[in-house]
Amino acid sequence: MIDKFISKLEFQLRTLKSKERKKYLNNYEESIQEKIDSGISEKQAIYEIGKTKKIAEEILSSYNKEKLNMQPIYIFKRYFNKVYIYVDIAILIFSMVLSNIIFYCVLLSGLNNGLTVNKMTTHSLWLLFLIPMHIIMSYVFGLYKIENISNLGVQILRTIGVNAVVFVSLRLVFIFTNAFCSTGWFSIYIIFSCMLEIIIRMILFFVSCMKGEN
Amino acid sequence: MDTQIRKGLIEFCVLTVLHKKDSYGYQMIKDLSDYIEISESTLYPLLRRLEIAGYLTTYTEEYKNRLRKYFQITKKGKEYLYSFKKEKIQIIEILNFIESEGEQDDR
Repeated sequence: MIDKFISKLEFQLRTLKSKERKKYLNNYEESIQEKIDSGISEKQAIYEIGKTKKIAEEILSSYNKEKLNMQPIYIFKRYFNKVYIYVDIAILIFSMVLSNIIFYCVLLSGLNNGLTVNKMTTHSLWLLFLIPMHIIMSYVFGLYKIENISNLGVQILRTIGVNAVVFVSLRLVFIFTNAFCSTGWFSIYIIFSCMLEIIIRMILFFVSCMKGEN
Repeated sequence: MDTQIRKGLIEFCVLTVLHKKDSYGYQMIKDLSDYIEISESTLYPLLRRLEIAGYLTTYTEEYKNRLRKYFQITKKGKEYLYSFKKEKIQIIEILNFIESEGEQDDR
């Protein structure tokens, strides 16, 4: 229950700088804990503290509006980052399918450079490895952090960064393990996923701007 | 009461409490609530403002397996509080003036 309260308050205070926001969250967490220690229930303690929206309004009113991060933040849900993970997984699978289709077309056209349909199917197995790696890298690059999601430029640069790192590191894995993976297919896959990710993030960003979810 | 005046006065109340001894948010609310109406959402932004202005510092101490944040008044904070106390007479005069003029208008 405390976690839910703190998470709600964190969201309401999203325009504050993260260091500043964290200070308030710690204060409120401590206050709730003190109330509980004094003998009241968790539910009552949270009730006494008040509604997160009102608390946030009061806190934010003490700041100059210029100092707040008023860039638009899009949210379709409070758990936007979870939604983003699902979106990213969908993009990666779609890129994988698309790059495979292109390569099958190349095979059928006769420009196959010795590749066979059997070998091509092993590409699909890379999904098991690629998707978790991609998602972890996105986390490392902070692509699911609320501060970064509010800035389209940062998102695009970091998306390119993630894809570049994934490409280079996996190429090295392929080389050192002698695993079969066509460079051409892998390049197409990375380009597709990178482009799709940027396009989707741009669409979501502009939709949210139009909706005024800031 | 005007919000700004109220906030300004509460600032001095908080500094007065901390002048006696270091304290933490919950305790300060308990100490002050006998005299003024105050909640966490009023207190914490105010404490932050005082901290940024250099009138307060913070430190943490372990309490029941968790950290409790204590606020401590600084030298600058004490000077700020003294300067307010020095102006007390002037403030009282202003309040008396408002009250007396108000009574005359009422008549």
